[in-house]
Amino acid sequence: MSTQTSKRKPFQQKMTPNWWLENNAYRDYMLRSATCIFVILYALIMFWGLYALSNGETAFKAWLAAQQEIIFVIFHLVTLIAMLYHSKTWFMLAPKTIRIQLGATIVEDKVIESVMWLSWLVCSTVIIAILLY
Amino acid sequence: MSETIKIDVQRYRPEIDDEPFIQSFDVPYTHEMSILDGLRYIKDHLDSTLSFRWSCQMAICGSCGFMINNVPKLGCKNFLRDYYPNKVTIAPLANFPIERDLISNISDFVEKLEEIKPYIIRENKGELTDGEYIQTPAQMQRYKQFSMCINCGLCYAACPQYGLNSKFLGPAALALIQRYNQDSRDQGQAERYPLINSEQGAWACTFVGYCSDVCPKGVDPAAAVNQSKTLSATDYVITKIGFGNEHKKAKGDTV
Repeated sequence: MSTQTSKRKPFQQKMTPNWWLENNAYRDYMLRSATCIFVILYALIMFWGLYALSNGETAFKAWLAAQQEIIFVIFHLVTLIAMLYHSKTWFMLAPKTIRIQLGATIVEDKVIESVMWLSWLVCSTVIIAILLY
Repeated sequence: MSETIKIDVQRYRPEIDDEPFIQSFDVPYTHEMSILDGLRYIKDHLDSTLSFRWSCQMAICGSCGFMINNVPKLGCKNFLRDYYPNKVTIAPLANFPIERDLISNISDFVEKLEEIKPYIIRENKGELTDGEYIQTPAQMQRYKQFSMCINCGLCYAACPQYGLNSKFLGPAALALIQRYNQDSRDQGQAERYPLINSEQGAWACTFVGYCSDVCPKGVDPAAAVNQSKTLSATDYVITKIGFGNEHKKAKGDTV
């Protein structure tokens, strides 16, 4: 009977807390995910506005006035940029989630991405037109 | 004197070492040398104790996956000239236990591949005399891309979700599910849906997308995983409204 014992000792690799700084793909992913923070804050501000509206004209006007403060203007601008970035990343990912096959040909990624951008352009134009007129 | 390139290799000898360390080698450099050629030179001429896996040298067997300058790549498909004159650092694939030197223990990955039933399942098996299951080019196109996987494990080394939670089914296994579920000859979707729908299935993927960046065969596992989510959601709704898994049976009957 053999008395030899195994020398096996698999080394468990661990991810470091700053794993997301290792490459651009991870950084872009975390940046995309971080945009949700602005969405949450924006939603809270909207709820605050809704609550103010339910409390009468004075409260709502006070909320509207608060939105004119420089800090809120900056926040809204940053949120807009964050949302544009978020939209761009999802438009780029859309071809991976949508697979359209025509016969034996699969529709190219750039076609799907272009349709997303076109839809965004049409929707934005309509909304801006409604707001202006 | 010929040109040399510095190759830093991560070593781990379980009988001696408590943790991995880096060993540097100066390797004679020529323009056509692959990363794998560099490692083979080290083993043949500088340190015969260095351990690593390799076989076909043509990006088909999937054996020689390493972290090359911290990026999951195949040793045979990447060249020293792309790094020269800078040094190259080679380590075993991330997220897997290290067995020895550059050899990762990929048993967990292989078990996951087996778990998804990677073969054509037929509800009504015909007789051999009935002939083969015929498929049109259009039907083959639906899954062909996902069938190109060589099981190299690079996508698992690239996936932070798998690194943080090894119970996650992972990119290649989920891509293989999509490969069979999209095959017109297969009728086994109902058997694979519980895996896709499970907590560790497609929904554990947060769409980092790096798996597709590093895939050496253009499989695009991120696409497969996220297309599985669409099917999973459809399956959920159809099951909720009472059609069970009946909708999946029709797929294979269109030939």
